[in-house]
Amino acid sequence: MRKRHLTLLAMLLIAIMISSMLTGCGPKEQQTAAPEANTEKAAEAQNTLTFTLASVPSIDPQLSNSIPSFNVIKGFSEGLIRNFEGQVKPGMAEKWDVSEDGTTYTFHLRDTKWSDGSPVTAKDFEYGIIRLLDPKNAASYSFAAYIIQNAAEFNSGKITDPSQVGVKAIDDKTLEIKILNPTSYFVSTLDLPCFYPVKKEFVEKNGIDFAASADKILSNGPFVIKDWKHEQEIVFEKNPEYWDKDSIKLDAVKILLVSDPNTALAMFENGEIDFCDIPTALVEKYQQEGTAKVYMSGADDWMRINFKRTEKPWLQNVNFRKALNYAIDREDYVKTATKGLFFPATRLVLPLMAGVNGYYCDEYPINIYPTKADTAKAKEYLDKAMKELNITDPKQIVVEYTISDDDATKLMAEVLQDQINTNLGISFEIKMVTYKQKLENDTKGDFDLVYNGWGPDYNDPMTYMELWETTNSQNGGKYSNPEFDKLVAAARVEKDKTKRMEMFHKAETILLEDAGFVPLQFRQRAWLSKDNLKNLARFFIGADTDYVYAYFE
Amino acid sequence: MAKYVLKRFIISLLTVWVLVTAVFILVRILPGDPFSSEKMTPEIKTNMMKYYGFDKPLPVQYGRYIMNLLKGDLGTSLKYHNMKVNDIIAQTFPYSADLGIRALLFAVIAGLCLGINAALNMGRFWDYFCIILAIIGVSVPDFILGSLLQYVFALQLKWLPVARWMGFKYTILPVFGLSLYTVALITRLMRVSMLEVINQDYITTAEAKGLSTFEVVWRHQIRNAILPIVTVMGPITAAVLTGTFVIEMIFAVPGMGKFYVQGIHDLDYSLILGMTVFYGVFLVAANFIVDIIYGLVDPRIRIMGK
Amino acid sequence: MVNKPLEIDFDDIGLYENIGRDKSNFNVVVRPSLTYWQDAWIRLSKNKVALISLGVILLYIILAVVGPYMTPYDFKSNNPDATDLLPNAEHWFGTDSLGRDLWERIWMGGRVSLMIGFVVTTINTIIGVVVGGISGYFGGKPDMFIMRIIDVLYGIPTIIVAILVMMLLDSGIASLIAAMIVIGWIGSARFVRGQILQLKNLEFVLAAKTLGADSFRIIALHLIPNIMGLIITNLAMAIPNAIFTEAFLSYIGLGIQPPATSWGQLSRIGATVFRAYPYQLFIPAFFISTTMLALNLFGDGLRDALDPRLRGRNK
Repeated sequence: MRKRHLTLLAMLLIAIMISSMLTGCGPKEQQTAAPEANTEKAAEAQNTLTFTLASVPSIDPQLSNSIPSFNVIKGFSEGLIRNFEGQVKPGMAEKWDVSEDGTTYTFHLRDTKWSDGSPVTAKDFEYGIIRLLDPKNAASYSFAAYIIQNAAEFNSGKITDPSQVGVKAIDDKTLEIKILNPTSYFVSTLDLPCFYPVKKEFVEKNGIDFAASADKILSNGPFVIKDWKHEQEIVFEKNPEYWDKDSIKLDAVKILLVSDPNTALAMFENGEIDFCDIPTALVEKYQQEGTAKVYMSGADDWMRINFKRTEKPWLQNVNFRKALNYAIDREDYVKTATKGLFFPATRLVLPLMAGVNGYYCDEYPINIYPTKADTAKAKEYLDKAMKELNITDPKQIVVEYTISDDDATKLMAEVLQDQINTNLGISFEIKMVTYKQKLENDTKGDFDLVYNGWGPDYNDPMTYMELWETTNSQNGGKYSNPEFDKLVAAARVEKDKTKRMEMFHKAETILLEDAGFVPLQFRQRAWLSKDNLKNLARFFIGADTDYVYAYFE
Repeated sequence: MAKYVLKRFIISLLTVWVLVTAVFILVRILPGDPFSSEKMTPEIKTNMMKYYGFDKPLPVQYGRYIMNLLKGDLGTSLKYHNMKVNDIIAQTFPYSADLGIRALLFAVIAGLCLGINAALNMGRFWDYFCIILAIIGVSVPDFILGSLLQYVFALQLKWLPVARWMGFKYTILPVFGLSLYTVALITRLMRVSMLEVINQDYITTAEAKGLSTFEVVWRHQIRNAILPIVTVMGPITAAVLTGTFVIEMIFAVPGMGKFYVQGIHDLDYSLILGMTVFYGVFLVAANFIVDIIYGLVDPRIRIMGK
Repeated sequence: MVNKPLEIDFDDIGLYENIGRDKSNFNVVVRPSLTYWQDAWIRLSKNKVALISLGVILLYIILAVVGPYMTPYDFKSNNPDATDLLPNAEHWFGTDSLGRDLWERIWMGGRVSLMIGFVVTTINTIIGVVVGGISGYFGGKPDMFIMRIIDVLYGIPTIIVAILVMMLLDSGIASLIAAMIVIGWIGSARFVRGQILQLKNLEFVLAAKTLGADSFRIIALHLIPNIMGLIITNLAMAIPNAIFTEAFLSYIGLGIQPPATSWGQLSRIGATVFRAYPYQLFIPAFFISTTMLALNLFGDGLRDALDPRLRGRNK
């Protein structure tokens, strides 16, 4: 009897000790600069947009290379223009002109100030672009500027004098950029943060600490960056000096860094954030409820084929490659592996890419491979291939599909494996490796098939087409067709819009008839947002979340 | 004694040095490289390698690293531009430590209570109850436990916040999720220990001397039973402090775990090495202190000069 | 001369009467003499909880072998029209998001998890006994050397070790097992070493030494058998750890290659969909948890049975 009472007593005493100890020293109640339902800022809290990003490694405009970073930078900084839902609007530049031959652009800047009061000048833009291209800075996004004259040469060290690069500040308010070929989409690419201005004196004063914290970077955008707790939260406040401040309805923006998408979803359901992406596995549930919003995210995925793998001669056989393309049931694949969220792809270029007047894919349709499997055709091509290769048992055809180690990819691969093995009877194996190893294998050409994809850098089919040029560094499978190369090279310099698109169409057809790769899907993303949140744009090029013009009804 | 301490210290230093060298080489053997990404071109990669000094031969890189290490500089992260590894650790370790220490405290106290209780009521309901409770803690993997806790207590019942680390009530679920395994461990250890002690002669003696049950339990049983727990606290502490990753992910706690795993995923050599050195020094120092304490406490060790 | 009693003849005094001695009480066998193992077995068999646990484990093993044959479905064939079905008469455990029968996948996964658990733990224990035994018994330089190696190995991040091993050996179950052994033998070695340290200065070792036994004889025939009980108990409770580690390794993507699966993988995938399809998490989690529960309870029972010090109050 007494034993039990004693132990209970002891436990109670200890429990009291613990709770007093723990309440006494809780983690420091975070005093953030932004409102947290505190008294004096309660009104502002109503007009604060809160959302999550997975990880923001850097906010340096020239040195960042991830979409979340871009999302952040577009909030507190701005370039010559601002892209909103695909429309190019004037930014720091009020207007611009193009020369007759289409290679010289002149931008006229408006009067705007940095957050430290100094004016934004054309020199800031020139300095930013040179900084991007200077090999000493090792900026990973420098390739985006290769369209500028002498940019690639400067970046690779062939030229050492920056003044030879085709960007020049004529005076404080005029910036001249010379590009290699007339490119209709050039201005829209200037929305990428790597082209944003930075103040030379400020950067040099801070040296390696530039952009390392919120006080070590200047804002010239809709918001001013007030606080940055690395991988915890970022806080913006409305910028009273912004030239277009009347279009900005929000008072503040709070970005929380949460890497687990399920946690983010939970936070949204709890009302803590205003919008969030839905993890693919749960999309069906919200689609059934009717609350899910869907947009095409721009990513275009496929199976890359290794043309140099001579130990597996079937990979070099066009009939076998065609058989693969007919054996996959893209509709089922999208339905099972992604719950119908993704869009089946039977061609290379994304449906949203701009064509002559409308969408390229609408203006130039291609119907080579069906979205449903055609098992008869698949068998037909396989038989042809086996005859040509002198193989009698399809099981002898061993193909290894390299993927990286994440759940979604694994699921997709398993679906494909089942389809291919069932419809063709070959030995389709899955090889799961770490992300970095997959990148290395891809670049080194150490694979049979590898899962690969591309997100567009600008709104033109060229962003996808050039990947398959013989000399392109991304062409890990070494697909090579001189006809294709000729067409793409010609399209690069062609001024006539319609002629260009026709060249792309021809090239894309060649690529597909060669079965140079196996198209899989165009990704879409589902997301949720609060009902009273308006004008939040999700886009498929560059920064994918445009929140600056959002407002609460 | 001084010689013993000195010998131990030198061995500890050597151990850390071997560890650093081993990891330095091993990360470079891992497939892939830190700079590869979807949009990388060979020219840009060359620039980046030069920027971080990777174009120099390996022994030079190694030498430079060791020199910096001796100055206490763990280098710059390869992924997080301009962030020094020291800064990353300084910013994130307090959160992991906070979480870990709370979990440890809770685990020890709860574990001891449950274990003592189970032992004193051996074979009866309370014993089985504590054991089953403890064992459930051991049977459920932490990623399941964390998600379940979050779903039930934060989303459905709305008693506690979903994630982040902003105040006391934010700590409850993560700490509970992290500590449950250790609670179970300590409960069982304590129970067995107490049971072994109960059958010892000195307990019978104490009871025969007429001591009250409370005094027997408190002054003799618990004190002796606690010894095996103390010896196992070393590895347990290490395990808890280094095992926070999953809970940190689920509850968005800005600790070291996330950076560590992300660093390995990104092959961020500096970050991996830096954190390994940090943890390694931690562990070796802990071992060193334990060895010293043993040396002080157990005269046989001193004499035989283990 | 030594045992001369008092020189009093009690018969003479007349105070006491010699009633003689009842020899039938001498040397009576109260209960049969038992070896250590027999005694342990008897105590174990009285422990209902431990027996039930053992039964559960055996049941799972049998199901892992036989289960996949009990339904007509194949663990890897996708069925796009039958995805995410709740358990029903056709699919006893329902189907996953690819339409694969979960009963099949659970038991194919069970084969992998259970096998990995037992194999890895057994090998780890053997290595641990050898290394820990040598280290603990000899002490001095060999001990120091081995412990430092352990320290270094312990300091290298587990994930890196796993990636390296799997890189060297190509993916597959063998490399996964190898990776887990490289990571896991340390705990076992440390444990054995600790126990040996406690025992090596006791008298029976001294006695053996005096009788001329060499070191290996002492380790193998005297020390190890004495801690065998603890080793076995530890083994039983380390198996759940191995299953855990496998789940963890698959959490970071270093598991077995698809379409093969394991309980760890299944519960992990289940965790991503559990908000929509909770049974896909609960079923594999249930099996992991009950296996661990059973192994732990059985281990507890084993320890209670094998530890002579616990014979005390509960006979």
